[in-house]
Amino acid sequence: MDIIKEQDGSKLLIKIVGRLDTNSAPQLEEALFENTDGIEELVFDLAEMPYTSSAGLRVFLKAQKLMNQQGSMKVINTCADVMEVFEITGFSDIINIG
Amino acid sequence: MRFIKSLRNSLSFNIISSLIILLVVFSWIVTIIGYISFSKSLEKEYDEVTYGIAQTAATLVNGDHIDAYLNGQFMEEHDQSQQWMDTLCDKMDVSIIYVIKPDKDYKHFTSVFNSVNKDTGYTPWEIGYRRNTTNEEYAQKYEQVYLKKTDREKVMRTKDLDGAPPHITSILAINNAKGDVTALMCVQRPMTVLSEGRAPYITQVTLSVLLTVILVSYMAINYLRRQFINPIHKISQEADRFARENEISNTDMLQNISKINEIKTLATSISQMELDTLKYFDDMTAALSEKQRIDTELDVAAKIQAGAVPSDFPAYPERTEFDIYASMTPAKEVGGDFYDFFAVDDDHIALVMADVSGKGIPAALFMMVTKMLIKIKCTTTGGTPAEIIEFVNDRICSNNSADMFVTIWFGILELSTGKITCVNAGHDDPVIYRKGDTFNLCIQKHGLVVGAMEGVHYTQSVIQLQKGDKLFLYTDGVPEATDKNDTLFGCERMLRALHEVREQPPKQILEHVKQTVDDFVGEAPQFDDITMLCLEYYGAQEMEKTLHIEANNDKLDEVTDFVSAYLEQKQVSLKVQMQIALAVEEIFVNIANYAYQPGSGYADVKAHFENDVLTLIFEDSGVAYNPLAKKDPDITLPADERQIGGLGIFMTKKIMDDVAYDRKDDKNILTLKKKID
Repeated sequence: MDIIKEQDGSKLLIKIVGRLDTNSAPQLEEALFENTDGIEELVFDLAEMPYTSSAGLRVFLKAQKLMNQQGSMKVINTCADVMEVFEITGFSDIINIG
Repeated sequence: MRFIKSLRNSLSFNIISSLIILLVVFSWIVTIIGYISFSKSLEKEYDEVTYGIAQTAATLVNGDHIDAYLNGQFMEEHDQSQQWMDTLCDKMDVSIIYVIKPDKDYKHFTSVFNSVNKDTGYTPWEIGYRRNTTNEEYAQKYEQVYLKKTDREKVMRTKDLDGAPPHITSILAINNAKGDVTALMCVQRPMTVLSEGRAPYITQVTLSVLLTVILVSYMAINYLRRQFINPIHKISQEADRFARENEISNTDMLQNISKINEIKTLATSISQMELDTLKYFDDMTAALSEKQRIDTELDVAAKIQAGAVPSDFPAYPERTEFDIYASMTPAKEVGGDFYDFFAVDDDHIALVMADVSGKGIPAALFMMVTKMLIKIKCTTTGGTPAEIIEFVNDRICSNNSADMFVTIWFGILELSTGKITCVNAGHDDPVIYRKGDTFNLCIQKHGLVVGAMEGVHYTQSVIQLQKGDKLFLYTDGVPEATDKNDTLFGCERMLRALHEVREQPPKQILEHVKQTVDDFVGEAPQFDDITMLCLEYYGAQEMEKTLHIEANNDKLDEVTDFVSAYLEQKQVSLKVQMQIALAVEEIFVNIANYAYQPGSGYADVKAHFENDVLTLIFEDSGVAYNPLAKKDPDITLPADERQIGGLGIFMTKKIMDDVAYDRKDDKNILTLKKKID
């Protein structure tokens, strides 16, 4: 899995390329939380993320909790399979999916 | 030099020069003969005249007084005779008339009378003048006459005359009253006509002959040129032109070329030959282009035929139950042999090996029909092998105008059991390899060849394949391959070749058999199509697969790959594969993270698919733990109140139809089930 980050002032875009599973989730977590200070708008682009397990959901939940305190968060370009996971787990209710 | 050489080789030069030589030789002979007869008649004339004069002169001499004259007696009488003789000499155009008395040896003589013509300028001999005989010829003639051996003699002198003209001398005897020879009368006359007339005669004859030769040659040459040489030259030029241009000439130059039948025939023949040659060229060109067209069509036909039988190998890479390989080598461009195999349904593969009587295009067409009939019948209404072959037989018989037939071995292999139900319609017995044993002919009941008789019933046989067994099908092209000594390859060699590579996969087995046949046949031409098929049965597809693996997150990919491969084989959709992968990850990560903490251990993952239901079983020997006992997370809470844990098991339960926990033999056993459509 690869992570592409694009920061524009207080706006941070994170693009995830590849499967987000137990083994790759820690990598995302590390990359995400190394510079979230002052970020007010966090966007995940999931166009090229075909799969996520609960380990990935855990990172999204953690990010959502953080952003609830300092701004807003949304995920975009979610594929159908991942969307299904979000729906099963009720994440579609708590995450802004654009 | 080249010009002379070509002249010497030219027809006209040869004919004309031969003709001239012939004419010259002929005229030369005519001239010689004319000359000889001319001389002979003149000589005879001279001889007769001279003899007559000599006879007359002889009457003037008194033979009784010869010796007396020489002694000086009767001189009046001598002078009288001398006077008459002189007159005769002048009048008769005689050179000399002389009477001599030769000595006994005839080498000398004594003159008695001697008259000389005034015109000659000679000086007459006195009586009693002695002289040597002129030459040996005279001496001999004198003797002949003197001894009365002949009445008269003549001497002709045309050579060695010391300036004198050619002359003839007649010699007669002068007798006394008693009849004894007392002297010789000799009359010499010049042969002026002979010497003077000869040259003009020769000139005239030669000139006229030459003229005749030239005239005749000229006429003959003209005639020959017109009638023979020019026509032949024209014919030869025309033949030469045709040889270079290979085109019919525009002008009818060979028409009315000569009146001579042979030349007319030759010209007609050449014209006809030109037409025939061009026609032959056209025919040849047409035949060649026709052959080229047929070759191209045959080539296409060969490609169609080769494309009609499955030839992409491995044919069923996704099937784990068997491996199959087949090859077809027609003797001509297209053949009557064929093999075929195709899936009847998920669990059945049809196998065909057939050989149409005859070879080439008819056999190939027949083959295509047979192949199509079998496949269409199999894949539409289906049926047992016997029913299928009976159907094919009836169809072929109802429309078999060419009286061809086909031998077929047809079998249907049930992949889940290894059972082959087959029919043998007059085909060679198949060969079976039993794992660990050797290849053996499998003798079965044979039915009638297909296409021979309508309504025939066929009997089925069953061959049971076990795991690792092989089936080898072939046409008679293999055992009946022939080397240059007409020795058959035979079944024994075929079985031996198969045995040599019995452990090899089907492709290698066929390649080895083909190579062995090729080596055996050597330079001899291939008479029959060589077609083979080999199938190896790996056994029924395994229903269950197990992965024994260390329970560690690092092994996650291996576990998901294992499950994915199994699902792939079961042709489960990608979407469902993704869902199941999620469940597998959640369960395996759970075991890896909690079962053996703080140590490590193993987990077994079992996949099972039956009746459209997928069962996944996870087993570990770690601490007893039932993940299902935990309460589901509340997914309605807002984010800030949500718990991080418990989502994995929750999702698994959502994805799978059934999730059950069991603790047995100190193992945690989690069973997941899902129905796959």
